[in-house]
Amino acid sequence: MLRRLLTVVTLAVLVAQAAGAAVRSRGLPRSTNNDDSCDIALLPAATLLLPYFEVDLTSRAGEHTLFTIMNVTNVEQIAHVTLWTDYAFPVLDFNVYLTGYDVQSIDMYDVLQGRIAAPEGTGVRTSPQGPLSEPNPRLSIGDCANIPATLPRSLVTRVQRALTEGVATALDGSPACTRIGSGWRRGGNAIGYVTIDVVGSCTSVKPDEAAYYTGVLRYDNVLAGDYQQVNSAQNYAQGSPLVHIRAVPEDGGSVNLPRTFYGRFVPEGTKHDRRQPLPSTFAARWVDGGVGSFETAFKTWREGNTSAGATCDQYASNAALQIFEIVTFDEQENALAIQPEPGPVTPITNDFASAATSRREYGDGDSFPEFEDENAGWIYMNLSSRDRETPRQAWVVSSMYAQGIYSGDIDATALGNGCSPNGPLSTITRGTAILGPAGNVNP
Amino acid sequence: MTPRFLRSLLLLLLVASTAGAATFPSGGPHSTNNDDSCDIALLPAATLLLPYFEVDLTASAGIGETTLFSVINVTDTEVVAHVTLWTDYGYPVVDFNIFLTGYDVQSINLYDVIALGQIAPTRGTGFEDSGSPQGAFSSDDANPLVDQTTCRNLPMQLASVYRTRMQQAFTLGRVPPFGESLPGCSTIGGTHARAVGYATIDVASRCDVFQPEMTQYYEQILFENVLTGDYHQVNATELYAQSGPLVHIRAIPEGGTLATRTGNVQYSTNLERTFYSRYHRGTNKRLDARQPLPSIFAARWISGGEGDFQTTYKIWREGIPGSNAGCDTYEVNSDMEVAEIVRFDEDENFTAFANISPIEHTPRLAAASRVSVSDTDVFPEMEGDAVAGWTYLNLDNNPEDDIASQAWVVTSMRAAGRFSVDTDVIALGNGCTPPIPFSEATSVAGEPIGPAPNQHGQRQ
Repeated sequence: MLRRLLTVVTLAVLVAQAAGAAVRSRGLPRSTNNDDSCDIALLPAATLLLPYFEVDLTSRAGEHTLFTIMNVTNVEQIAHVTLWTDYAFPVLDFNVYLTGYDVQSIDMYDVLQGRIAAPEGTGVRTSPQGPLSEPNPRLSIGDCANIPATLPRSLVTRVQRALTEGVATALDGSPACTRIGSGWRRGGNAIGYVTIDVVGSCTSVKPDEAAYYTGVLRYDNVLAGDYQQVNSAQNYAQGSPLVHIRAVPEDGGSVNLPRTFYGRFVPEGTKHDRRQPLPSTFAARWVDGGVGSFETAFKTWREGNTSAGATCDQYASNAALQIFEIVTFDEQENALAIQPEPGPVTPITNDFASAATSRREYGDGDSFPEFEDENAGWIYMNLSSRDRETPRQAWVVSSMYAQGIYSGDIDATALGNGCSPNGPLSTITRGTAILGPAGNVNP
Repeated sequence: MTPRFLRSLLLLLLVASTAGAATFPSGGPHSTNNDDSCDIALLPAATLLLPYFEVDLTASAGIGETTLFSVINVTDTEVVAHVTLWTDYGYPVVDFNIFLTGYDVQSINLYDVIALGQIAPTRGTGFEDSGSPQGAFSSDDANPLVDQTTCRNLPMQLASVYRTRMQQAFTLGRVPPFGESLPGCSTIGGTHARAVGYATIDVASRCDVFQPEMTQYYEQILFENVLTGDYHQVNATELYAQSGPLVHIRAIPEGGTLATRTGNVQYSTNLERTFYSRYHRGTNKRLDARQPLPSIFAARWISGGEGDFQTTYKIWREGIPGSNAGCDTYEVNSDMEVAEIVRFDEDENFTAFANISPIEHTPRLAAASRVSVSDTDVFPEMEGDAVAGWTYLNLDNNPEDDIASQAWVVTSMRAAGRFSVDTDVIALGNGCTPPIPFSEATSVAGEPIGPAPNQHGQRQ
């Protein structure tokens, strides 16, 4: 019996080691294959995240955001775009049909005026077929023939109000909701974030619905994209890649990720979306004041609390997601910290929090521990929350301005991948961890 | 075989198969650990790459084109960041050290360095310099891997001979002789109105003068993934600025020194080649353990149109000469072959360049360049009135060997004479991906363009 068991185990180990040409049992990296890690990298993905958008609905010359989606394969794909409020309420979704090697730009100003991929729209009948483009037999494109290029006025009004006033009117069976975005207290520009998923059909099912993960979502890492946030009136533009979130494994098999990007919308433990989780700890530069009149803002996306089937009133819980720890360093390595209680550094005891997406300025006096006399340094952000066992996913973009004419967006460096567990508070805020990169071995 | 022996063997096999808490024999990913993949990601690294810099040496400070970069040490422990500035032909012109205390950040303006010969002016960046203060949370314990005494009195002002050398190298592609050991060189870079090149920043154990093309360098580098950084290319006259993260290249596995890693299975690397492979002599070509960069990319382009869009690509490419190369060998890096470029418009029409019949046009690029998509010698011209699309770049410099040479691409877009942004380009495979053959766009036997296969050596 034991001999037979030994044979089976030996065989299993050998087969496992042989599976995947570049998977090794000794040394590191354990795998050199593509799409075989928890690291968020600039590689073709199954989901793209625009972590923050802002659009002035009153003028195209004002603030607006554009993004582009590329299909880097020869076969057609469908990208399902969802717009979320800053309280993570999915307010609008639409499909972009992409022939092989297609690229589609989306101007959010147009979308929020009711025009999708203006002027021609996007669909099987309008998207040109290149000489190298091929059909994708795994797609159901029947519903992609007539993707609406223009949205009904009632829907446009609903979307605009949701993103600017935080109010959604009742429409076509969707209930009226209040406080599903910060606009009710903020007003002004439309603010939110966008997800773009590879799907198998042109669908109206959204990522907060269970059905999205059982019959709609696909796992092909084939999309790439970038965004620009432009303000013509103020003469600045910022740009960066979208966040590229891969499905791992792409081709099926067990999912070894401890959690997934859409984990809160799928039945616990199923990891049906297979999407890599995003990290929660970051290091980002800040520059403020000085000769160049520098300013730094952080565009921050954070995983919300609401799950599939959330009711209207639950979205308010995404308005002020608690922040685990923030430490600001100046260029002299002095530190100021947000902390749960007074510690060895300047005792700032604010219970810092932010919404599911936000753009907050260093120097606004409210969002970050600030130095009075220093002009530059870096910020450590642990954007998890103390009230959660699992890390809260996040993404951070540093947005810098200078002299009223220059600006640039730079993705912040994560200090661990999305599979890293929650760590304790750092010693700077009277915790036990030495602030730095996450441990290499994730439990 | 006795039952006891069998039990022991069984236990050993089970332990071996589960070594590393977050590694898995099947499914995916095979490891969820940090610093355990070939993917280039924005995570703390052991080497940072500024793929392209440009500095106007004729303008006054703060007026013309310049490039700045910042280096952050995200740990509480001191480290040395060794900076090397290379010409666009991959010739290492000058190197200097930055001593970083725990949680230190240091900005470097390359105008200061190349035009003025100043490194971190006014406060310096050496051990116990005022520019490297010890913060309250910087570790009080010296880093045992770092010889901090070698970092005392790092020069803030370089002698004029170095300044001349840099300026000639980065604008004229030549350097005068330097003492008895360094001969003058005349073909180590291109001729440019502005200083052009690239920079590497490595974690090191001491402040020394060895450069990455020297074999001694690898006795001094460290393998700690602790650095992060970004860059800004600014032109105050033309009123634009572009920014991006530096390329973060991790050491895998992390830790140790060359001495402690040698022969230690704990530190064996499964990378088949590394970022600095070409500089290693002897049989071990992976001494630096740095992740290799990819060679295939997908980059957006916009050109013309109502907004008067312009797109250039800032491209870094792995050069050919190895360690201690002679002066005259660097010219080979001036126009290295590009395996294939395919340009798509927004209607999925395409044009292509490759050294294959019947196209037989081989684009060539240097080790560092900024090239416009309107340059029809490099990028095939689209027919019709297309103003946007994307470009497939296979930047392998020798399609006939079994190594995909490394590269990095940044898309640099400008519009309306006032807007500009830099965006890192999507790679279509990681740096461990083997060479990709000609695509169906240029070869009747070619495969469709697309992401590299997940398992190396196989088509999907």
